Amino acid sequence: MTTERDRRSFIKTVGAGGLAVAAAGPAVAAAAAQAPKGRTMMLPPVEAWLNMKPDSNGVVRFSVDVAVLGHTDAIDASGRIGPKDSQNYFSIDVRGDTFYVEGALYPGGTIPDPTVVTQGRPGGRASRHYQQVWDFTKAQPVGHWMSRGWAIINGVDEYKDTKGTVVERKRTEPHLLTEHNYVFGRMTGDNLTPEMLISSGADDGNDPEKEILVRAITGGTGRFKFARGQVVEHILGRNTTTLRSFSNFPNAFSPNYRFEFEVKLT
Amino acid sequence: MTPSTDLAALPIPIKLERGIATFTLDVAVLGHTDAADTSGRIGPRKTQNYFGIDTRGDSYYYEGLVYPGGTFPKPTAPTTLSVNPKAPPKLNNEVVWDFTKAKPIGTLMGRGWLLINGARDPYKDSRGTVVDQTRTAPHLLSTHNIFLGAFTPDVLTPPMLVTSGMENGNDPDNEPMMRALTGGTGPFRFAEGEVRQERIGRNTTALKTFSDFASVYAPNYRFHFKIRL
Repeated sequence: MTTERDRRSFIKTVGAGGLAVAAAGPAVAAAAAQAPKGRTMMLPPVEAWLNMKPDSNGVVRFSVDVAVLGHTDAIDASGRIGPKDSQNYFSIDVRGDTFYVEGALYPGGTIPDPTVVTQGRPGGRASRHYQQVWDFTKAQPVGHWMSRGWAIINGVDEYKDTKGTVVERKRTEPHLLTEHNYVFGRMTGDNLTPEMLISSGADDGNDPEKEILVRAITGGTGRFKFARGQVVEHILGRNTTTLRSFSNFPNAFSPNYRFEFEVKLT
Repeated sequence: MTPSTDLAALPIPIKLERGIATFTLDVAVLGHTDAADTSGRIGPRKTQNYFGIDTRGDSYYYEGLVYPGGTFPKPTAPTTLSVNPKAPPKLNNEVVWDFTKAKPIGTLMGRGWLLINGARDPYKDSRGTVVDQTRTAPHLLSTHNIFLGAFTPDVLTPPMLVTSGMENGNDPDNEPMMRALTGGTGPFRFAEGEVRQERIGRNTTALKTFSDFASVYAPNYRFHFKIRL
């Protein structure tokens, strides 16, 4: 599909350790180099890593890293089509669930790439993206990420219409339909709304090695007030918080994500 | 990659003229996916008498199957609905789609809030001034994500359009709605514009939110997009 080609082209050009990360990389790398061993790295100010210089097509590219805060994973199953008290999300129809979750936002390149193939849940697949690569002691976040939306997993084998025709079959990925707010600054009483970007789209797949999603930019504030474009999201290992929505399972550590933005500002 | 090259790869014909793309999509709502959450509702939470209470606060999610525009036949037989049998028959209550005639090319995911305030008594402020009265249309405030392609492990997010706006009135034969395009991906990543939504009959799935009534069939929609890329 077109977006898949776009995605590959985009990743090849700027993503997954490419130019967008490189744009932030020197400033972040310098911060890491200056941090005494075992101490929190002081990340550079936003103007030092947020590349706002457009290319010849008027497109600005930059990236951010996000560590999801598992304790904020607030799910509401009261509208769910399937059984409301189950966490066996892949064998029921969870559509109708709503949720809210937050993450700590860092310059792209802050969270290291996972390298060690690690077992996920017992009996599940192994992937380097189950490795814990972030423990929150290494840097203070420079912003916030807020996500909310609906679960879209349908684990029911098939649905039929009133005439008995099968109209829908099991679909276990993607998992979520969401809106993200990326807040470029820390919210304080004196700065309630640092500049922001908003995206809409689907989140999460079943194979972390293939989990790359393209989302639409739907708005922004500050320097992003006229922004249009898209953002490519991919998983980047796990962190040391645990997901509330998997509280029945041991060590369901929260994911980290890298977001590669491609936006026009005018 | 130029936008026109991208557009040519889509599973629908798109007319591109002076930078403006126009195209049409048909969508059949899957009634069994109509998942409402009444826990935030202002009015009584267990009733389906949506036009006699204040339903605001209800949230919902549903899916629909997407087809190229023009796939669904136009309704020809005015039909009544079980939910309101005394109302005049309407063309767009006829079932015109049964899912056997064509394979879908994508998925629409809609979610949002109910807007119907069917409370008979007006709302008054703390000084007794009427500030809000019965309003039974439009019915919904929603966001649509329309994916043009199948979801596969290798392509979790086919090219997408995102729109925002209101939906549904009380006369299905007079129900044109304008929605804002708020974003897109792939060939639509820099798109801006609007979409006109209209009814085109019903299909053979039944709406969960009217489960107290016999076979309230799910609606079909036709979306006319006009966007700048």
